[in-house]
Amino acid sequence: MLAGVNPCPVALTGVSVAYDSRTVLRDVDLQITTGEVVAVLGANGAGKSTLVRALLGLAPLASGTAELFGTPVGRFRDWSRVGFVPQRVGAASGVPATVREVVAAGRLSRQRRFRRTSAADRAAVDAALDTVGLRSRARDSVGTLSGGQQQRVLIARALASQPELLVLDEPTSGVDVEHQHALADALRTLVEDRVTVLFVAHELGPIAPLLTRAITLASGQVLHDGPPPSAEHLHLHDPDHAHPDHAPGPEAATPSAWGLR
Amino acid sequence: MPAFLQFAFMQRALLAALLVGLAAPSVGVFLVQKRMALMGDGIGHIALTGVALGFLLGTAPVLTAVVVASLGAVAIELVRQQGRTSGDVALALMFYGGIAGGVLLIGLSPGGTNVNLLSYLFGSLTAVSTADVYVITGLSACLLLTLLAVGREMFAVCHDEEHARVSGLPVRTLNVLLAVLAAVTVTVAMRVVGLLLVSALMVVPVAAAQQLVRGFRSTVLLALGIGVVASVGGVSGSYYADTAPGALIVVVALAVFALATLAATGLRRVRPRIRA
Repeated sequence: MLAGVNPCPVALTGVSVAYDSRTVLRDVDLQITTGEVVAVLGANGAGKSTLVRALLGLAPLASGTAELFGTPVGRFRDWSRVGFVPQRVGAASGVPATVREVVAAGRLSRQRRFRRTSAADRAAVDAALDTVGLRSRARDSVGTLSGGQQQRVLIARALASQPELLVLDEPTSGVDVEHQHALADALRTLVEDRVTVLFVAHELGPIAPLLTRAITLASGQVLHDGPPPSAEHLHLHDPDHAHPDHAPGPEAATPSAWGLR
Repeated sequence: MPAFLQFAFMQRALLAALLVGLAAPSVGVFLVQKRMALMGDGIGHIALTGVALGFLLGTAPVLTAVVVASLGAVAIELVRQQGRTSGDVALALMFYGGIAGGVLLIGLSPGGTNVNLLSYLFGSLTAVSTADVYVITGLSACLLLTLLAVGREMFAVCHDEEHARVSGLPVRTLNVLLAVLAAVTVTVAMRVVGLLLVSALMVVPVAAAQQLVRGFRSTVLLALGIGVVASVGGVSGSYYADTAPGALIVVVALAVFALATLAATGLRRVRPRIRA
């Protein structure tokens, strides 16, 4: 890898994170090159979200370095290159906001302070809404949308800055299958545009075919890093998530090798 | 032209009411968005200590109130950012400390009685001096211009703080700025609405507006309109009723809220029928 010429969008080296002396992430190394689509898997409390938060400078590092596009995250300023979909319940807040207003907030990382919104800004917001299939709902209040649609609003907000790296924290949690397919369609468009994608997932579902790589965390350490699990394993890894339509087959033993139990 | 407009004190009170009606909801909307609607109340209580300090030192109570309220608001915000105490408990501590400090200091000040405090607690028509009008105008203008300049960024921070940080916005600075703006609003509004009711004028117009509209921008504009109607209406009405203006302003705002809620409920009932 020619680090100086074409730096990795994501580089974690020896990263540890501790909250109140409890170590949540332990000595994690992770490099993601341009165009990769990487899932971070693992049980609850394995440190998946913490890994993403450490990368983005939202969780303080106890040791190691986190770099975005070759720059340590503390000094990184080029935030329009990064789109982030945080883990949160819905896209609404204490005051109503339209879908367009929420998505337009994602454009701020590209806008100069005190400048008015330009035609390019509006076009980028329209394009982001098209990607997630919510252009027709642009003038609706986000609070009136379903959970899956609100999740897509947050993805559109991340896309509004036309990022090169998209980081999603549990984009499929609490979202029904139809919306998971809509989400997968949106991600497929991005992957075709060579956007690097890193997402935390509890279950993969329709996103699975897009993956180029999967990382499994257990107790804050990388247990597995390599090609994604094959499709028939994907629904079996989560003990507290029953899928009545997917009875455990002969492959049921395999996920334990992924440390997903 | 209503008869009361010929009185200079009413002209001052109405001008102050107009500015307060604009300033309070425009800051309040961000507090409501952050789900910190009670922050204005906490700051109001702290400002009482500032007012009493002014009496004690013999300086203008408005100035000491701005300083003390701003310090208190920033302290609340820093405690919230540290996450050591929940914002809820931090606000409670400020409430008690502010009121206790105010009553204590006014008791220590020469010739000070709690009667002096009453006009600050509930507002007073005759209390707005010419100097007050200048201070209120200057501070409201600064506040509205600041919000015009950073409104988009403030929206993003109050909507989703983590996303705002990953957008490279100066989240900490904007949060502290909002706290200071809230403190300035409280001080601006205290002569007209009173410290105990100022938070209502920050929150109730926003709550009423969001019953009727779908967007943030439209909520802000409608809340400003409702704020002006309530504050100017309340001040005018209190001339005839001979009451403290703060109480009437809040009653008018609450009445608008009730009407808006009824109208919204009615609309929701009617709309499905139209579609069907």
